[in-house]
Amino acid sequence: MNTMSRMSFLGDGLTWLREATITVLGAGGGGSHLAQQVAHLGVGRLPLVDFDPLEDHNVNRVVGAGYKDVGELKAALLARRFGDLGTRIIPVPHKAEAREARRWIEQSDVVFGAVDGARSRNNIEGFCRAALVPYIDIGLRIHVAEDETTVQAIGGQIVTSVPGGPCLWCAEVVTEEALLLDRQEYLAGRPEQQVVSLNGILASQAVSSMLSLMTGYAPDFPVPAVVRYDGLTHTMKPDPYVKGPCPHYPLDAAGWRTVLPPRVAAA
Amino acid sequence: MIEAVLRFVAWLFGPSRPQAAPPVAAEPARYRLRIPRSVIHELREVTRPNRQRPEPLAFLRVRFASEDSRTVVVAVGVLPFPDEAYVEGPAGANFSTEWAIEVANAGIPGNVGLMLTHSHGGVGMPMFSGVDARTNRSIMAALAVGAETSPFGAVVLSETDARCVLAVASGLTDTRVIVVPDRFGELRVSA
Repeated sequence: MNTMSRMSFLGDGLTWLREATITVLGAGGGGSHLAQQVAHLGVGRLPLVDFDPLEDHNVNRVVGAGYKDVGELKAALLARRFGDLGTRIIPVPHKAEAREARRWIEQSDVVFGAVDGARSRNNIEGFCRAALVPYIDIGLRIHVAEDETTVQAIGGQIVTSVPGGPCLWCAEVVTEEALLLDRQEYLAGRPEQQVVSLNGILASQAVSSMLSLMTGYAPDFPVPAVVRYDGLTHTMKPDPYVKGPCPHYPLDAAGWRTVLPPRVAAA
Repeated sequence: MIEAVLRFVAWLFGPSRPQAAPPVAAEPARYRLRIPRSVIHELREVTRPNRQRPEPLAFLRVRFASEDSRTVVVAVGVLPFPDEAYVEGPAGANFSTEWAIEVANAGIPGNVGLMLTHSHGGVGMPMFSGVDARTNRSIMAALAVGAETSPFGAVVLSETDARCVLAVASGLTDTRVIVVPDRFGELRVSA
């Protein structure tokens, strides 16, 4: 029995994993789960992008972090914590939209995003679509009533955004309203509700989607573009209504254009 | 058009090697061509030998991934050679350089460059022949001269693999071909 014998069902996918560069954007509640799982898969390179230091209120959901680590850069901390799993983790202490991060995005075989806000998601997806890199985004929203104790809804999604396929706009994760709300919440300084267990569910499904998409171990069961999670009913289902081809990012619009065409209106 | 012809002539008889897009020192500097599965499928279809053409040619239309990047190239479409682009000549497939220059010039405003593509059929990693290498050097690298916003190079296909060279400042460099899963290749979400 060798170190990968329990993953031999991936076949040639194991070789792909060993040579792959898989970038994780965000090393917080969702990103730490993603980084840990990707590191366990034994991939070639794992650039981990996050510019924030760990704060004490992060410890309850950043997997691999402890209170003694407060103050350390999250990307560097997780690179050290998960650095003995057969994956070369490269801490990239920059914002996900920074030029340094974008270079890694362009060199990646897959990018995972676990970032806050519609604006960042939108920008990152734009980079990935331009570079024809599959992008898998996770997001969680816990709606709490005015009394701040009653949970009204727990909604999450995993969007697998590939060239030509449905995008975050198609999935209505990014909308004009969400972009506006993003700014209002940022200005209000309102913290989003998060919990380690729900982040873990979404991250696990996202990594599973990546494995299926990139190694093709189950070709008769294609990866859904969008999987919705309902934390109140404890259910996760593919969204059958989000389909391609994507009107927002046509295949022939990939790459760098000096003069950008006007954005196509949402379908 | 005239400018491109002059550039081509200057390259043929001038003292220096082509100065293509400036290299970017970003780490890691591996050259990659990313091509969606549906596009490489189409490319194989149009370059497969047929009764009329023993060696059909096509241009793969490509762009750099971003303004900063000169190492990652993305495929955005396929342009099969029309009948009028072929000319008589000694090689398996000979084409009009005037036509190629015209197509190259037309793409430059949209930052679109070209990869000359043909197929050797069979399975496994294909190799460029000696004739291919000369054509790549004398035509595709020449087209890259001065076109800093558009990538140029060549691709040779088999039924299972692909080999690519990209014009850079030092000549033509081997470029890894990565086939990307896309909507038409793998995602079939049914209601």
